[in-house]
Amino acid sequence: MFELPVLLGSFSESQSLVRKKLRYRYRNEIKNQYKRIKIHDENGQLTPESSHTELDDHESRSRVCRGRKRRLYDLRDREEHGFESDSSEAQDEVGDLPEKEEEEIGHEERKYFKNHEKPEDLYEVWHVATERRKVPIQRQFVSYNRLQTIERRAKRKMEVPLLHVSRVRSSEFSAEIDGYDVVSRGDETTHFENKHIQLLVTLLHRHISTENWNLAYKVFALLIRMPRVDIRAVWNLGVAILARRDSTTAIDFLEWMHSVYSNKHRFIQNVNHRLPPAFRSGSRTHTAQYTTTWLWLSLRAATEQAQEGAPTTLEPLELLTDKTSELLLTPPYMDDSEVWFIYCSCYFVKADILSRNIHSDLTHNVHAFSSSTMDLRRNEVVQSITRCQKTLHTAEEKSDQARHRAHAYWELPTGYIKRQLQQIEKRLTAQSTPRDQPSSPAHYENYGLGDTELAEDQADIDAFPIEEDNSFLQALDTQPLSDNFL
Amino acid sequence: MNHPNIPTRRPVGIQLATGVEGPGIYVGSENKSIDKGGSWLQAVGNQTASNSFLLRISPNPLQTIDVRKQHLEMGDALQAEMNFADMVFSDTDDNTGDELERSEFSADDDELFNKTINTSLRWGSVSPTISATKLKVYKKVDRKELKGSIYHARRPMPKKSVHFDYLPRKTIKEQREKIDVLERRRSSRKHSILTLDPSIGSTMTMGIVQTAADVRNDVKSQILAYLGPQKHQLMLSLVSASSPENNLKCYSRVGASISFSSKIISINFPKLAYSFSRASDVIGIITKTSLHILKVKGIDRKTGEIDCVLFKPLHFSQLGDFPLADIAFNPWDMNQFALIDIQGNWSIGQIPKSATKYGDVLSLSLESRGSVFQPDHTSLMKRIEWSNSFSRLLIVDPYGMTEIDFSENWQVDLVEAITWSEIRGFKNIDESYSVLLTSREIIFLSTFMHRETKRELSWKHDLDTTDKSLTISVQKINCLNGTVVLSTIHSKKHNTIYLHPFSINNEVIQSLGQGILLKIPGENLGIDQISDSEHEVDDYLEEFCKKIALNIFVKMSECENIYNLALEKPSGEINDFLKASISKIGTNQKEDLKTRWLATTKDIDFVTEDFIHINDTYFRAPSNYDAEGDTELLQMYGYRLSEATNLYLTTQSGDKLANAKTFETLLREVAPLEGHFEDMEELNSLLDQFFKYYENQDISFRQPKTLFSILLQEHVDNVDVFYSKLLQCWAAMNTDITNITREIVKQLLWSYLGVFKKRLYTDEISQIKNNISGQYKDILDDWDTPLENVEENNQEDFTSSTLPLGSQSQIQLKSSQSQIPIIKSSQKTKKSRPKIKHPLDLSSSQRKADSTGAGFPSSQLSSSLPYNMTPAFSLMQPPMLSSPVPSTLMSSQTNTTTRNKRKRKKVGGFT
Repeated sequence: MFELPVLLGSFSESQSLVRKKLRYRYRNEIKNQYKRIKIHDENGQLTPESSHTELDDHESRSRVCRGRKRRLYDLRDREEHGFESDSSEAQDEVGDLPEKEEEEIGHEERKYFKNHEKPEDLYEVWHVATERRKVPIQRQFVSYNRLQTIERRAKRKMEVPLLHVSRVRSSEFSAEIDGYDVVSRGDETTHFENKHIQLLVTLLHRHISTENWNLAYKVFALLIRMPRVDIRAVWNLGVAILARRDSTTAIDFLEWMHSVYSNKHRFIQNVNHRLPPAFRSGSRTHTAQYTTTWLWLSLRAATEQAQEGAPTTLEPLELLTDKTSELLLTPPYMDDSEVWFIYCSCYFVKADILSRNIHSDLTHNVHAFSSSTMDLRRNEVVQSITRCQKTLHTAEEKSDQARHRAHAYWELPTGYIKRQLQQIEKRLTAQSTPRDQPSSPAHYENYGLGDTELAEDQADIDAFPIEEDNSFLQALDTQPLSDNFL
Repeated sequence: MNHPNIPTRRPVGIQLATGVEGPGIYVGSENKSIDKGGSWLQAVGNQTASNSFLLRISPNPLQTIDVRKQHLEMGDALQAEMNFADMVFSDTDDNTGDELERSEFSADDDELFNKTINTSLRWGSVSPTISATKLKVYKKVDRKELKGSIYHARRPMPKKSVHFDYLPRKTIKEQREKIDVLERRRSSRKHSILTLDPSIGSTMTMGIVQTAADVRNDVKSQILAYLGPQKHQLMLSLVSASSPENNLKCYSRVGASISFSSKIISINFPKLAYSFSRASDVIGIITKTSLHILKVKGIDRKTGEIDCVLFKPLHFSQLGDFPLADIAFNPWDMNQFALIDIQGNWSIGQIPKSATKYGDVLSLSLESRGSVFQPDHTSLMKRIEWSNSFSRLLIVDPYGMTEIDFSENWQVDLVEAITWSEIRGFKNIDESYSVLLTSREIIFLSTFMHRETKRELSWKHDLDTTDKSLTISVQKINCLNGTVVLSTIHSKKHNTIYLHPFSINNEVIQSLGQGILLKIPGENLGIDQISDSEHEVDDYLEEFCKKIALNIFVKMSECENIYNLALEKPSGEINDFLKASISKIGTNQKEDLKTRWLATTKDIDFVTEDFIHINDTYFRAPSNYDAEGDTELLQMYGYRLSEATNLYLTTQSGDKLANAKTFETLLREVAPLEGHFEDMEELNSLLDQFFKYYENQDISFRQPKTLFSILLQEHVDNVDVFYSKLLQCWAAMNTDITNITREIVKQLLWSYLGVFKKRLYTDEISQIKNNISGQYKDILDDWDTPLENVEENNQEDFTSSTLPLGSQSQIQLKSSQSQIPIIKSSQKTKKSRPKIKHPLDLSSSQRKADSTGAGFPSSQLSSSLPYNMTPAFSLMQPPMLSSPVPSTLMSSQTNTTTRNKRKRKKVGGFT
């Protein structure tokens, strides 16, 4: 009853390939037929508003897609474009390419997805109902006759390809195009190994569901040692299990995932991917989920440690800050406002915790600290605040950029953080008025140390744009990131 | 506003899964509570937060003991299951009380377990003892026999079970009936594939109804509407108590039963907007031919009788040419509804205002109508729901979701689900939230008035993505300060419910804890329907979570009975386990079992309850064991063995053995090895020396490396390497795994290692050669001739026999990297034709391993791994040991992806 975390092996693949081939060929056919009938209708009877705008929509969409793909396509695929343009004639001789069966399957699938985007961070494509996307309601009902005409023609085209498939597959196919769901009877997996994996996966989920973490750990350990099991499909279960045993192990595991499975390849729309990239992997334009999970988990763990109060406990937080800042030098992280936001949160947490310590020291034992140590500590907080503000600003910027390019963007609780930062600033001066402390960061200029600190701080933050001038990074960044999104 | 929002990605929303907590925001400490420290607000309600809701289920999911007492009618299946529930297979890390159970793990249980595994999986015996007579590797390969082996495990067909040794008559009768039905279906359809009509919506629904009189008295009543024994009969029953705390006996008798002329495919209750503060009094019923709207006139709370009138039905031809699929009621207008047919033609309709005029006509609007027909969206499933405002509709089919505003005249495709998932279901929670089930996720949508419809949060449920019968239902509990939404997912393929709780509090949706799995007893049945429900609780969310009590109505497929699944936390402790119990309700006493919809994945589920605990004390060293004695013990054994072998060589005559089926004698029969030892290296060297010593004699040995290569699918020469490899894989299983592995290796070795006289075979072969006819003699003669000569022969006569040679040539060619076209062609023949294995050919077995498991040597692998292949084995593995290749060759995928091959950083395992 659970999804098998396997890479598709040869056992089921041939079957699913045939299914796919039939499905996409039929979809292409029926779309063709539908388009033809529509054009015919427009010449005959007029349905002005709907047909006009819909055609427009189709046109603009395919233009975008084509523009996008032209950059990505290799030579062979460009040939396909040519093939498609005179498709109505060429399509009549279907089924005469039996020796190139594999390519043909891929071809039909690629052709179908020419007008459909393959999402990278989700399983489905989600749109926002912007004005641009809105089209008038398609008023015309589809009638039985018209549907029959389209279907009959498409089915006739399918006769040839159906000659070569098994009878079960062809009856499955006919049920599918009649709109029924075909349900496999019995277990489809008869292979020993699949059976074994199936059993382990079911056990794994059962033990997680009953919170039997020890057994779940054992099952997980066995499962990932099975050949063909893709750890990227079950990493989240591993995290859940490991986190229950020891939170640092979970973080280490995620870090390992992050370092082993690289994010450096491109996600190419034109490839017929077998497995979805969402949750499983990352690319140059998509931060892998295990990376962000790793950062969030470490941040939370670091926060918990930092709140214990001892001076050494801030170390993990600083370590994480360093790691994140390193990440931010490379794609896809440098343009991901989530990673920027994590970076910002590091400083936010640090500022909060440090200022709280100062506050409690000020209120409880006012004279315990010399003014110079106090100043040092205050400077540290101010530094964190400034950095937090800077990075938050960058995160916002990145988000806005993505929004302008119609990418997925982040809604960040900027207002809340800014208000909180003000609170933190107030804390520094809450009890210190009798001791003649300045009340705003601007006054820190009066302190020699603070001055230099701030200057350094500024330089530090400016370092990022400077780094971007680096030729290596420039080379990476020349490809506009909008390519993979609409 | 002090309440921060969780950072959210648009339009992606927050993506969650088990172990993935998503983004969060640090809620810093305020001035007032400055000593308390900050915390994180995130989309997963954690245990320390105040609004946590731990839904945990005890390991024995259903209170089976009560059920056994009360509901014996559930039959033997349940009984068997309870036996297993009692038999706790515990893990070793729980130290208290386990010893007791271990010792009680008797032979009977073991047998029972084996039996269950065997019968439910229809595999061969999984007993770990390998008797000497059974394990004969490639001794005799009979193709007919192979068919029944595990490598060819077929789908469990009902026919097979008839051939079991003993079966009760009842079972046979049932099986026959099943077969009959199957046969009939087979003849009626072209082939026996199971199809499911996706246009059939929920046929068992619970909804709140308030008649005109009830509005005045301010009472609401919950009505359960479901199908009667005939699929065209609607039954209405009053559910007496609306508060979930005291409604454990909430089902009264049938209040009304209405027959329609055709099969009912969907029953819908309107959900009115919160601002109405009342419920509607109509129920929408869609049959195969028409739409019926039923108006509840009065409810007698004492007798449970329901008085209702039907409007004149709206025939589907009034809308279009196709059968109707779904209806939705406008939450802001009690008299408006929207209708959609299976091809996506939709229209707005009006219910006549006056209920008194019986026979008033339902009318469809001529303006507000349209179609979302897409030629490539073939599925018949269409769902329609009201979106975030008076004139907005959401239309859902498996391939996408469309939002329509019929007054502003626009439509927009919100979701396109054609790549990696399909939409399986859609439910409105209230006017501001809806939930969408795809084949991979549960997705919450926010549909606030005057805002865009947004994807808010998704939960990856990890259920089988190919299961088309997945359905979601929603149990909503309105607390004083928030809402708990229990989403339940069920399928017709198995009897397990996946239940996941969410809370909606202050516009923040949070996932609460793990999803839990509940198994409904009933061996063969899938779950047909689970009713939606809505409850009002006079309590705060946190309080409710402590003492959750909830009833869910469950209807199994093929069975008329409705079960009441009661969830409760009796003790009122938040960390307490949730108790689930199930009881059968309803008036249909007859179990009407039709065999169209049997659950198809029952077996695997049944086994999962059991996890074997290996009794490791058995393997432990005796107390007087001394590690230094190993060498001595093995040395002594070496002497004995060689003496015995010498004896075997000289004394035992060939005539005596020729009568036996095999010429082989196991080493342990020649000289048994007694005593405990742990030094595998010493054993290895002993065996090596032993084999080497007798190399030139007239005897031959079965070499252990053959066995290792079959088991591990890679080339392993040594006993101790084999041992350490096994240890690596099993290290996580048990703390005492070294002892167990060692014993297993020893058992394997001693049940495999054998000795035989070469002379006996040569004699036998020459005898056979003399006896067989000319044609076969030729084949035998050709056996050892080189390939070139064979190819010249007429191939048609020797299709099967030349084949191994052909594949051999392929390997030779491959290594010399010459004549590429020949490799290609021979590869194809190898793939398509059946393989014949030479009984004693080591290299052929090696090749077999290659073709099934490992595609190419692992040394190449680390650099040429396509990015979507996982080096699962590299985890915790020392680099010097070559690992089995984790994936088979994927023909097309490899072609496309090896282009992007890149070097992977080698990183050591984590701890």
